[in-house]
Amino acid sequence: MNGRFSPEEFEALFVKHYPRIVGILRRIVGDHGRAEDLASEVFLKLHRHSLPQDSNVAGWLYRTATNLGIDALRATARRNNFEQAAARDSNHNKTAENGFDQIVRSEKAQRVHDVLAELKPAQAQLLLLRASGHSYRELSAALEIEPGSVGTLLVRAEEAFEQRYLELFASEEDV
Amino acid sequence: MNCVSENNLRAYHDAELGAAVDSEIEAHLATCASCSHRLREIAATSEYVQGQIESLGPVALEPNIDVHAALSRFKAEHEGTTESVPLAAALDIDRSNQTGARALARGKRWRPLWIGAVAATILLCSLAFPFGRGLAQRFLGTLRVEKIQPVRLDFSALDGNRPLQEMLRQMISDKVMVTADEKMQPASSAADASQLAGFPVHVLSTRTDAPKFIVGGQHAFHMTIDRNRLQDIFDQAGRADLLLPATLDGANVSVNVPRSIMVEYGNCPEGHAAAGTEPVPSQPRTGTWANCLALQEVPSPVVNMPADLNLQQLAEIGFQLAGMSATQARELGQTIDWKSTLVLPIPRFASSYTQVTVNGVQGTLIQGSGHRGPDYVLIWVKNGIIYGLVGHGDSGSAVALANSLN
Repeated sequence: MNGRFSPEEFEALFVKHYPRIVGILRRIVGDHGRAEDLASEVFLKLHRHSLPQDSNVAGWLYRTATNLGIDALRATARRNNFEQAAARDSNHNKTAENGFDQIVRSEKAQRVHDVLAELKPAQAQLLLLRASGHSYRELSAALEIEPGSVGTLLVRAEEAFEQRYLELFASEEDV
Repeated sequence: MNCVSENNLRAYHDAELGAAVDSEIEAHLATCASCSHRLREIAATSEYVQGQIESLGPVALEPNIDVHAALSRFKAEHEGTTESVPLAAALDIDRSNQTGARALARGKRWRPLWIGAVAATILLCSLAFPFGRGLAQRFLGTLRVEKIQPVRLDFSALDGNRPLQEMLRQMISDKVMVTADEKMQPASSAADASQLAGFPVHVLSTRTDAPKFIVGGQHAFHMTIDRNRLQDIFDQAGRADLLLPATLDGANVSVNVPRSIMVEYGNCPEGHAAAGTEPVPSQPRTGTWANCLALQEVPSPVVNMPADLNLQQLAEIGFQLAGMSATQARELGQTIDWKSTLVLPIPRFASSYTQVTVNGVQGTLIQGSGHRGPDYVLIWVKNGIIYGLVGHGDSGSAVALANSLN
């Protein structure tokens, strides 16, 4: 075991944080298997690199996870516009039998992903962690931002999200 | 009080400021239309955006996540060789097989260890985990693999049974002695690889690009079977009804897996060619590895077992442990020549497998499909060599590629 963690410490961290890390990543990338892959990558980084003695390990894990997730999301968005469109079509077909609600849900998730991919990564990260229940103090520690500016940064990020969402989808909303 | 900063309005909305500050702000808001208006805007935007993100699904309470299984997978992929357990070799190989099964299902990268596992280590698993994969296989006198019989087995009932896994681990570390555990090493040419491995390497003539050669190390171990402990393990698995024969107790089993050769073509995942220790980046781009092809060649492993063991009986017990009825297990057991057949457990995650003809012999093509596209492995045995061809992408060309073996 590398770094400052004994195998027991590492296991304890893994057991404690893995499910939630997967949950956040699944929100970001929208696929459970891929979220688990990315979570595994997060813990591999933890496993490989020693952190400074006084590190906030939980914060580091969440920052690293959201970084990786957003990178993956942006990469997918850049690369696979065509494939995504195809996937959306097939979602339509697949979900038709499961009812209208599900189609709307997956459409909506795709839109949220599109917007998150276009935001500044730091803003997307802040929004995702806030939406997963991090307090301002935790956000400040995880993202290494001033405690006194978390509110301002949240306002900016949320406004950027809303604006981009409306630009992209206002015409389709409520159709 | 002056107007409230945007930061504090947002923090007030989230009740992050504490009662004292809250009441100051409330006093101000009561008299300041502009701040009140701005607070309403901020609150509306916040609720809108957080609601959008929450529509992506819950972040907590993942009922589908078995964190201990995930930890085991993680260790199997990244930690194997650093364990201090003396039995690292056998365990690693077994774990890599489990990992491979999941990898196959998810269309994840193939790891070198799993490629090896396909060819040889199912056999090792059988001994490393004698209760299941193991007894489902054959040991008798001296065995050499001549053909492969795929069987769908489902050990899912045993997955996640931690006390059971711990008992197995403990038994293995007590009872198994590793006698050879060589590392992989690169070879500079086909001739070099052949010389290192001790048998002539075959390459795919349809691939004109120059492959890389990696020679896999020899692995060998022996173990003494402790029937009572095995029976305890069965009890833990909830199958106290399956009784192991008394002749099994004290049986000495030895396994020798000779050096192997991996021939690797194209742009393969980073670390593929390394000694199996470097992790592969887990986010391959779809299609990036489409030209990656790995051919594993390993002479048949040799298993020595007391000749008086009733292999078919043991195999039937193994099949039952894997969820078959006693009748099904007997019928299947009778169809297999246990002296020369390697029972290949098909990962339950694999999307399909089919029997094909390769180079004049029967082969098994196992396909997986995941969100990153399809992967496949084609396995066959010819002239005492077990071949495993692993590809990313469409398996349609697998047989033609395999037939081009020179």
